[in-house]
Amino acid sequence: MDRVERQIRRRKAREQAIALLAIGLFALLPPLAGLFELDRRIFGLPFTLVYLFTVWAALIVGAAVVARRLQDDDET
Amino acid sequence: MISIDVLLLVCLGYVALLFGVAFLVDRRAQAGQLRWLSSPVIYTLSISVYCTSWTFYGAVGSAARNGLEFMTIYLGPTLVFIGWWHLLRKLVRIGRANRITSIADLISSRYGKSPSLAVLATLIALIATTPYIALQLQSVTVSYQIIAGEADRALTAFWIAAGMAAFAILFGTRNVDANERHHGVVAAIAFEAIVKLAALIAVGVFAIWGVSGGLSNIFADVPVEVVYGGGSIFDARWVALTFLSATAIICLPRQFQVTVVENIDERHLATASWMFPLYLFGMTLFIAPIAIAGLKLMPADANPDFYVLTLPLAEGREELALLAYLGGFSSATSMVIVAAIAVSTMVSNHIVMPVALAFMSAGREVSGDVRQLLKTSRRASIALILGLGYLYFYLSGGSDALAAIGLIAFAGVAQFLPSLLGALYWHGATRAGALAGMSAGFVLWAYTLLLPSFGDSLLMSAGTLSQGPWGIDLLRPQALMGLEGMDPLIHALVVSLGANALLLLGVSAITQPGPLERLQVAQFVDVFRAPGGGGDATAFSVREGTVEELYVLAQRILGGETARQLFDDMARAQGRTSGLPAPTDAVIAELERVLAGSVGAASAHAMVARVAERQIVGMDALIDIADEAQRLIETSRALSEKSEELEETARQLTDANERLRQLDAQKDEFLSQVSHELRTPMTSIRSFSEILLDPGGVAPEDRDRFAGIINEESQRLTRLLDEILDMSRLEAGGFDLTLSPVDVGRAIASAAEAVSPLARNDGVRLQVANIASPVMALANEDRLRQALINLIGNAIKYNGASEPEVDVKAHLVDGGVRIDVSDNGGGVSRAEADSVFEKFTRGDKSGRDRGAGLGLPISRAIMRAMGGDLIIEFRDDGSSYFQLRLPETAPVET
Repeated sequence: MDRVERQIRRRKAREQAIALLAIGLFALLPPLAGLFELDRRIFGLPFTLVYLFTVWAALIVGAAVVARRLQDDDET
Repeated sequence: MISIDVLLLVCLGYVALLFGVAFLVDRRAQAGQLRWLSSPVIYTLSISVYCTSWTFYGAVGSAARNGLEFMTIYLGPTLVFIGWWHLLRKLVRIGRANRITSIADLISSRYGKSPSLAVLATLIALIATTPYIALQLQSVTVSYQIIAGEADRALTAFWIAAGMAAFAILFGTRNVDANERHHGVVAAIAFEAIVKLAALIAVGVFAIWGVSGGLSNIFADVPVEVVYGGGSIFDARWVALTFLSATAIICLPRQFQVTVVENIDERHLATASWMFPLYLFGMTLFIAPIAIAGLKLMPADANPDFYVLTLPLAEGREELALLAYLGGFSSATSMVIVAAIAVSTMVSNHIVMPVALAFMSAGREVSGDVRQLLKTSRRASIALILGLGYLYFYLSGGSDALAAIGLIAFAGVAQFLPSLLGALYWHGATRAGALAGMSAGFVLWAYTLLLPSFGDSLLMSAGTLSQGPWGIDLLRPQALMGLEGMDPLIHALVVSLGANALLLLGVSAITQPGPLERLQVAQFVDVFRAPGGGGDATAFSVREGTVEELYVLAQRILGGETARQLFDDMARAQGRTSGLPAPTDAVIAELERVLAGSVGAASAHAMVARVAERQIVGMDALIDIADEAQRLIETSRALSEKSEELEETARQLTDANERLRQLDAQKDEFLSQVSHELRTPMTSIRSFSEILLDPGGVAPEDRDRFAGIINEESQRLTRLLDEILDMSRLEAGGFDLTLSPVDVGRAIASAAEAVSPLARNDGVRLQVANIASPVMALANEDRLRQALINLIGNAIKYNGASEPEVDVKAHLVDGGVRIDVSDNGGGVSRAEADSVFEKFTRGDKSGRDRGAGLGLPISRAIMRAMGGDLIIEFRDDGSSYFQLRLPETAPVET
């Protein structure tokens, strides 16, 4: 049971890594990113600037989590 | 203004510090104490050499001019590192597995260790790095001028270039590590990474809170378009730049060096995957605020590239300015050092060394001289690289936006990308394809981007730029094939990378990889499947045709019958009644075990693993190996058989030799005996004839007697010669006895008659037994008679009894005819039984008649020649008789 579980977790971690990359690609590139090209401001800061840095930070956190998962289960 | 002395002191002090760090770390690395250094943090920080003075100064300039576009330079690498599991990990794995020393090494190695590809890649790296180095020179020069006051730009830049070359040479070529690892340099640039991050954050904090009164204020009265830059943010250029920076993070020689070559532990990548984007995040967080602050506070003609420096200076913060200067200086020198080391490694490995080795005389001691040559060529290359960078800086005027120059370099190294991806992921990418693609891409890049960057120059005049070479409109450098209206960078990208990729695809499709290339394909593309690569796949990823291939392999090594038996057994064990077994791990393990018996465990494992794991090179090469092994086994078997045969032959020769010697001895004996036998009668004849010739006369009765003796002796001599002749003929086997059915009784009777005068003379009674019905034997009648006469004569002559009797009996036994010749004189004694058949032997009772002694041997030879034999039989009472044996035959039909 343990081996099967580990195999599933491993697969899941890999899927999460791909998902993360896909999210990054979509969120940071047109056409999707174009949706966030707004003139507004958040806390006095330009919206798109905040958007980009927020997405970036989220990706970093996501990468950290996924990396730990991939590391745990990789037997190299 | 800060005094020049202080500035120089600070710079030198800082450089000394860096040296100290590098030196210490190198020492500890050599002593084997690498533990601290193999922290993933150090690894990640070293990757941050990506952030050069382009980031430190030029990003602010880009933000001020073009808005948020600057972020693409950092988002691209972020995406690559987030997706590290797929691309970066494979790259690092391949690099470690194949001991790759540079990106040129990787490309050339993958495509069959091609020297031409290595040279091409090195040249591209060299030329593409040149603008990048120029931009570092420019930033250091200008920042120096800003802080220290006006100075001759070209001269300053020259000294700076020389100084950087010296640093790079001292840092990077002190010793040549076998793996091309420079632990000291890595540690030093990790340190520098912290310095530049700290400096930039310090200026950023200053810009927001020191100057603008807080985060919300800083953007307060700035129109959004200024922040965003003119036009749409997320346009084609955004995509192109993101793509370019993503490419650069892998393809830049210095990045390849720190990410792949200097990698100590693959697991560090996992940490770098988030920590490096975090670093980038930290570096870029304050860029926009600094740019805005600069735009607001600095005069309109100030170079926005250097707001990081001029802002603190303008506000009177000299220490901050010094820190900023140090940060910029740090970022520039780290780039130059690493880039110079990386490119000089390529130049010396792929250009200088092959040429030098070709010219090297055979006599020279290789290792010492080579290392010296290596070091010297590295140093010379570094000087060359810096020299070219300076040249570019000089020719291009040194006033362009830093970011623009950097992008030219990015586009140059991007030409590696198609071949690199092909190397990693496409089995079908060939050397020819890579050569074609990379050359075309490079040429087009140079034509559309590099040369135009000089503006009006000898390399490309303004006229060529605007109207095309020789006025050919379609060949305009920035609008090839009529692709007008594109951003020059995008145009160059599309054209160069497009041609590059298309040629790689097309030419690879129509060419075949060479044998070495095929091997390398497996090493690279399938690195996660190979036994050495481990990790990703399960023990064997087995597919349909595998079992057949394993069967063929088994047949080659074990032989047809054995292989069939083995596979049958395995199939049956799986419950299959026919066909081959399913390729389970157990089957494969079993096969390996059996094969190991023939070719050894290591080879068996390698062969089976390769077949089972879908190695392309696989079957043909493996079958050749198997055939070779088979041939070797057979040859050695044949050799051992041959040597056994030779031993046998030698033995036989020895035996034959022995026999020949024996025969020789026998012959000598025979000759001496014969001559003795002949001499005796000859002596009598001579002496008696001499007497007869005596003039003194001989009495008449003596005359007759003597003549009679001579006559007798002559006859005896003749008989003897006849017997000898007979004997020799019989022995030589050239004696053709014609056989026919013979009436034995008649032969006996005839022989008895011939002997009867002798019997009467000696007073011996001869008895011949009557035979009821005729007994037929297959014999030669004359010869049989001769033998019988001899035997019976012997019996008569040698009978010592007082009333001598000789009996002759014939009887049938079991398909054979027996003729017994016995006498009442006891016959031959046991002791004589063997020797009577010897030539020239006469029995004990030989006094009365002097025969030659050949009679019995001749008779026996006759009997044997007729398919029978002559033997002596003994009775219980010790007496003996002679027995002739003959095969019976049917009587002739009359």
